[in-house]
Amino acid sequence: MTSQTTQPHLAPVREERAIGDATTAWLYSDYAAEYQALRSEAAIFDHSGLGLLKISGEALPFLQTVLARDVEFLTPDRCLTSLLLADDGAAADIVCVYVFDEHVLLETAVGRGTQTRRALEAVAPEDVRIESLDDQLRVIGIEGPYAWGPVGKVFSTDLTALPYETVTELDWDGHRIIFARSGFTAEYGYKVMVPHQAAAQVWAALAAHAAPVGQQVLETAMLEVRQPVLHLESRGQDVLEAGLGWLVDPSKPEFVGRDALMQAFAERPATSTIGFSAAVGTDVAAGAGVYAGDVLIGQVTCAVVSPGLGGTLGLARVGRDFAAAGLHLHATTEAGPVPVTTLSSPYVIPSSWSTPVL
Amino acid sequence: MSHHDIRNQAAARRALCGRVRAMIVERLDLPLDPDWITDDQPLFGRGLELDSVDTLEIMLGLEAEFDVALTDDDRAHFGSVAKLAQRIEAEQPTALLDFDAAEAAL
Repeated sequence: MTSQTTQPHLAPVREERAIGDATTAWLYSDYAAEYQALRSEAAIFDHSGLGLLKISGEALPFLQTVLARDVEFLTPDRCLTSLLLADDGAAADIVCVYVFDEHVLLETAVGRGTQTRRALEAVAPEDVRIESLDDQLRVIGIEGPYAWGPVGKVFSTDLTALPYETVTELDWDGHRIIFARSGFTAEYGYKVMVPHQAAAQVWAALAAHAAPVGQQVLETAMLEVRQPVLHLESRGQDVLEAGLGWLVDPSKPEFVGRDALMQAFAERPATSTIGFSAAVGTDVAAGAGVYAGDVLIGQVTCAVVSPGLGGTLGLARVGRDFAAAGLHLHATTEAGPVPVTTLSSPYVIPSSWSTPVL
Repeated sequence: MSHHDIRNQAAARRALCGRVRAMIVERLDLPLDPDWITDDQPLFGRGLELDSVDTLEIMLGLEAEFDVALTDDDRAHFGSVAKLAQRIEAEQPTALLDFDAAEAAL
């Protein structure tokens, strides 16, 4: 697949990983240290794997007919996250929409920029133009219970307490940047979209006050608070089974994939997704069988080491009768069956929930 | 625990979550089928996008429907429907007994 971006990483990486059309900074230093920085201090993320699409012309009316949530009345000081479905109801992308006076900016999930641009181009009317801004803007994230500290030091203290999903623009050292109060991990989160020529400078300024954290820890943290990691969780026409319905407005009369999704809802999906924990060191992997007693009830979707839980955190797709927290099940591993316990979300409580912005 | 016992335990918890979802939809007058809300979706922020006023309504609903008193300091319990249900179960264990197994099977 054509690489969405060939930009150099903003800091030396220990490991990189391809996701979709992007090459992500997977790990910069040490997994536990990066996790500690995110959940206890402040982290910076190089989000260059997210696609950025500029939609001009009759952009908002077009997106209103396509996206699964209502964007018709979105104002330039707000952003909104929505699912983009395919005609058959499958989850094609999770996008964040930013409205500007002359255009709309669409931020895609990691590695989905190319395919989403093609999907939109296939249905766009003649009065809508779609172009990629990946070679013009770079997204940097700042998240953590003390992420407001670097934001205040580098940009402005006025920005630290912006309401969630608020967007503004500002001038920084001669560069026009877009600033959003938005994130992925349920900690205080901010994103800045900066011109490429300023990205290294912005990164260096933030890195003086926050630690670089890679995609691996980001995905762990997202799973911990049940924020969807699309490339791990969705396997096709399973929006409801994957628990992604909350990114859809079912009362919206028109969007791509609506009929298929509503049909699936009416038929009541046979499976659901539930989070589970297992003891540290257990080798539970995607595809492992999940059992209630001696009966197979589902499969593990994904599993990560969660320092916040002190063990393994996973998601499992199980028969909907078993999609409940507090159940003692077991999963198969090469070493034999291991006990797992189903959980209620958020599986880790973000430190930000008890940390005030000063 | 046997498969049958686990299934019954799950059914009771799912039914309790269903009651919590129905209470939220009714109290907040949401234009939603309660079954559209998933038990683990975030209730605030990017999820159901509830706000502090909604929190107060939910607290009143919990007290009226389940005789459980929460304060807005208990933010973790408002993380999802399943988290609220776990708090209800902890304070009112008999809430799990009050369910229709046939309805829970839907």
